[in-house]
Amino acid sequence: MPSVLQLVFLFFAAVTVVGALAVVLVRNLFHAALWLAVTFLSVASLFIVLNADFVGLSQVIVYVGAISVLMLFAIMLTEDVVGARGLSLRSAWPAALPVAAGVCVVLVRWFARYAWLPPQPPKPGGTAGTIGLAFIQKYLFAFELASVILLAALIGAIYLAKEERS
Amino acid sequence: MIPASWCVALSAVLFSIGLFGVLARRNAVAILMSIELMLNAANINFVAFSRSVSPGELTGQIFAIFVMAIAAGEAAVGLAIVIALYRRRSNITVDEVNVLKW
Amino acid sequence: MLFDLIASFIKAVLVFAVVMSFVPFLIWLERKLVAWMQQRIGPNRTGPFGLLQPIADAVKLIIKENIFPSGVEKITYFLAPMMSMIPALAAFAVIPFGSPVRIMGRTVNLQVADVNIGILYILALSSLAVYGAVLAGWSSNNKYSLLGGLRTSAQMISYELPIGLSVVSIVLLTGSLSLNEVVRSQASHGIWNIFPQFLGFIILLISYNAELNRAPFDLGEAESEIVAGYHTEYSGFRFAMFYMGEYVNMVTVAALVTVLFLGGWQAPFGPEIPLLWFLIKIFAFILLYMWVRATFPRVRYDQLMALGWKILVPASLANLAMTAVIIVLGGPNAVRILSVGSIVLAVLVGLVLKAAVALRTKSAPGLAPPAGAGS
Repeated sequence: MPSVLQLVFLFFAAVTVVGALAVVLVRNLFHAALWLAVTFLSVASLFIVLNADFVGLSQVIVYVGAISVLMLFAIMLTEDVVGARGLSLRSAWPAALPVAAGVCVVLVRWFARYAWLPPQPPKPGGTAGTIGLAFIQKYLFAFELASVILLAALIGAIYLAKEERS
Repeated sequence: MIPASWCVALSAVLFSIGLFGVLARRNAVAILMSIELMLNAANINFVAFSRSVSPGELTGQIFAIFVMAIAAGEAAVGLAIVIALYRRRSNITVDEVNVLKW
Repeated sequence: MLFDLIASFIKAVLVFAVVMSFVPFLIWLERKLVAWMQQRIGPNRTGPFGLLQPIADAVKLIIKENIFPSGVEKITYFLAPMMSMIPALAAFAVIPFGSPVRIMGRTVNLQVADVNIGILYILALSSLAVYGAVLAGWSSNNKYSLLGGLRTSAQMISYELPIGLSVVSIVLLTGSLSLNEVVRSQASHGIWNIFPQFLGFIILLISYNAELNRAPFDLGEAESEIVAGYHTEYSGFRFAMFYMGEYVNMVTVAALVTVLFLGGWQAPFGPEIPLLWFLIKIFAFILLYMWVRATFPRVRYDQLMALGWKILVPASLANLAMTAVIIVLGGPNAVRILSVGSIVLAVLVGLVLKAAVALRTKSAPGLAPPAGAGS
């Protein structure tokens, strides 16, 4: 008999999979982006179920609040007001199906060969403090590197998207 | 407690769905979305293993946040490319933008 | 266990009811206040001083026919008004509105949920608020709605940056992400955060005005440019939900600013009466926003973006850097040094801005209003 937490996990896992399938299959691009937001939200809920509250809320802020909105924004700028028309999948999509299914089978079977360590109960007091300290102590270099990458991405995005003036 | 195998299975399924999207969608924005799905699959694994491998240090969760930072940068640059492409060609279907120069 | 469950349930229902019952009163207050400021009378026909006007409006809107304009995407059109209201109501769950009280021998927090990362939770929910405008703008099948949705989403994403950065300075000062802890640290510092974070307070004030889509930053629903923006096609009860959502958002923001900067439920003088001071501070803040609305003309969109990216983001970064440096170097006196430093920094930012405006006026006279053109 699964516990309440496990049922919650299963529910959000189902939402995640359904949402991801909709992202990949729905014809209207705007709807696909909305399904992407739903998927991100349910993954954030999964994180919180897995004792990662800080990561879960960061997921909401970064993915749902910024990346999905950015996608919606790009779609509104690049598509006609009425919405995407025509085929959503390339003509060669049947070839992609066995590849993806094969990867899925291989991954699951390969993972199933190992007996994973049992999860430990979380430390009391939340995760934010531990993560914050690790960023400026153990992973300082990686942290700085990530900020340099973000800065480069910022400048690159502005340069690419800027309208050229002759 | 949720067994790690559940998370791993979910992440494998999510990754494969994202892979299918990258290979099969025609629209460049949709391909970017599929890539985000794959990165999320990786994050689920990071967080899941963080519980058993490093419950005190939370190394997995820290790397999940790094992945998010990189994903944000990737989305910004990718969408900027899409918008630049749309300006030049009025078209963001990858089948028709395959000449690498114009 | 059962007691806690019942207490949480009662608190949730109570907070919902109180916030929702604020809304009609605030609508009346705003109409009356703006009318007075513009030398009009305002609503005065329904009830004493027109107090029942919002109720009459609500009844009218609710019994109106529910119209789906032709060509709208029904599901997203239906979801959009809810998405503009739910995040604001949900955000209220972590706001502490009084010091813990003792009921039946148990301590009850006057807060629906004491989340230890409450600040992050509020930031996450306020980043969801943009979906209401985006969904409405897209699904209405109307180019003005789409423009309004585009404008609002870009505006809200841009102004989340200075909000986040100013809130981080508060987190530095508090050393915790819990809103309860923020209030307690202000009590232990003996000084409200508005003083050591004066510049942050100003930045948050402006940014939340933009985040709420209120005048002078209501570009997404600017009636002289794009009809009514993203809710052009809405009528009846769904329009009422957008309208109420705006005010619910305002109450939530006022409560958040009260907790972050104005010492939460603490009394500035006199006895500490539960809830009283919290409500007074919230109303003072809301009145300030109404005053701003009646005072300033709407900005242009490029001005809005320039203000956000070129002024507020650098200023909040400077504030964050100063706060961090002083907290590390100042030791026990950090809060006192910051109280001076933040005012100095605010004045500096103001001077730089003034110089920049003067420079631009000199170099490009076409952009500036002609001399003596004041109203």
